[in-house]
Amino acid sequence: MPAVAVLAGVAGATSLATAGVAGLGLFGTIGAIGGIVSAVGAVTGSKDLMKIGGIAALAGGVGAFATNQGWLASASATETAAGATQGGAIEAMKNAASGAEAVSPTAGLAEANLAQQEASGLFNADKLSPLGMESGTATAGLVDSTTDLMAQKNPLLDTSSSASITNPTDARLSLGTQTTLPPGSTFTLGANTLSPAGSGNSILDTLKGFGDWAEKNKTLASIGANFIGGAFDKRKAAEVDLLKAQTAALQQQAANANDVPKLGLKLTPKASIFRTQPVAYNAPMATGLFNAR
Amino acid sequence: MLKNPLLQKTQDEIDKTVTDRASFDKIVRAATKTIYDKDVFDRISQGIAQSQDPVSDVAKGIVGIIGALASRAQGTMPHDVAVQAGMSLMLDALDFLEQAGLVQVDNAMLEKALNDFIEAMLPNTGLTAEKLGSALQQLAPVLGNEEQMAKFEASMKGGA
Repeated sequence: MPAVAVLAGVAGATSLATAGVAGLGLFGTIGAIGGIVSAVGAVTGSKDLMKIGGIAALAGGVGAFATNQGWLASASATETAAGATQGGAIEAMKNAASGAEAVSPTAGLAEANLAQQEASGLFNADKLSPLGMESGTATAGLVDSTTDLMAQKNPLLDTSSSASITNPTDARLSLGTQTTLPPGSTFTLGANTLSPAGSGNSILDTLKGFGDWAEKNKTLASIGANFIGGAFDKRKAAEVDLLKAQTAALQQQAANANDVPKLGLKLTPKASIFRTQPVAYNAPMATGLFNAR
Repeated sequence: MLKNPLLQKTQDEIDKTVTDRASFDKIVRAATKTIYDKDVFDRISQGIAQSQDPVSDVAKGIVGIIGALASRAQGTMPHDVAVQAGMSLMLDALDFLEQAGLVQVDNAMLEKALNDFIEAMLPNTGLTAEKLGSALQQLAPVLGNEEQMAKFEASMKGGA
C-alpha cells in the first residue's frame, strides 16, 4: 500500500481549507511559502529559489497590508480579519529578504487544541479519522483524496468575487484611487512570462513568472526591488555565495566523517629495514652562546 | 538535531522565518507524536519501503496529518504556521529516509522535497496555481504604485 494512502488513511486526509483553518489566509500562506523557499534557496545556493522566495515573501507582506488597507477589491472576510496577523506576513517577508532573526510571535491567535490524547485518538480502531467518518467509508479513494479536496470550494476564499474582477486597474480606480499606473505595470497571466492560467503551471512556476515580470517592471524595480532582497541585492547575493561555500564545506566534512580510510599497509618480508649503503652523516651545526663567533 | 548538515542548515533558516513559535511547536509536537505512534510508524515504514517515490509520498502524508490536526484544532490553526511546521516535518522525514538508506539528500533532493511539499500542501490551504496567479494579478498594481508602496515601507519601519 503506498505510503500516501497509509498516512492519509490513518490521519483522515483533510483539507486545511475545508477544516476551516483561520489565520492569514491567502497572502499569509504566500508569505510563508516565500520563507521556506528562501530558506532552501539560501542553503542550496539556488538563485532561482532565492528570487522566488523573495518575491513570494514580498507578495505576502504587501498583499496582507494592501488587504488591510482595502486596496484590493476582492478582499474576503478572511483577508479582512488578516489585519490582526498582517505583522506575521510582513515579518516573514523581512526575514526572507534580509536574513534577520525571527521576531516575536504574532499576537491574537487562538490557542490550537492539539492535545496528544486527541492525536492518539486518530487511530481508534472503530473509525479511520477523528471526523466521525464511518469505518470503511474512508478507505475508498484514499490515494485520490487530495485531488478530491482540491476540487472542493474553499469557503475562506471568495472565489466568486475574484472571478468577477477582470481588470485590476478598473477595480482599483473604482475604489477612488486616482493614481495612473505607468505602462507595463500590470501583470497578466498569459501576457507576460507565464503560460495561460490552467495550463498546469506549478506554484513555483507561477511565482517565478511573477518574479520575472517584477524584474522587468521599471516602476517596481525602482520601488519594490529594495524589498525583494535576495533577488536584486548584491549584498544578499554575496551572503548566498558565503552560505553556499559553508554548505559545501559542511558536506565535505560529512563525507570525510563517513569515509573510512583504507589502510593499505603491505608487508614486504624480504625488504631489509637497514640501509645497504652508508649515508654520510652531517652533524647538525651547533649553535648557542658558547659557539657564537 | 538533524544528522544531515544540509537539512539542519535548512531547518535553521526556516526557524528564522517562524512568526508564531508557540503554534509552530504545538503543530510539530503533535504531528511528531502522531507519526511516531507505534502502529502508525510500522504501517508508514512498510509503505515507504514499497514506494516508488518515497519523498513525494512522505510529503503527501505529512500534509494529510497536518490536515487532520487542523480539523481537530477546529479552525484555529494558522495557515502560515502550518506551512512552516509542515516543511520542518518534511526535513525531519528526509533525515529519517536518509538514515534508512532510502534516499541520498543533496541539493537536488532537497529542492525536490520542497517542490513536492508545496505542491501537496498549498491546494489543501485553498491556494492553487490558478488562484495564486489571480491574487498576484490583483497585487501587481499595488507593487507598481509609489504612494502605496511608500505607505507599506513606512509600516515595515513601524510607522503604520
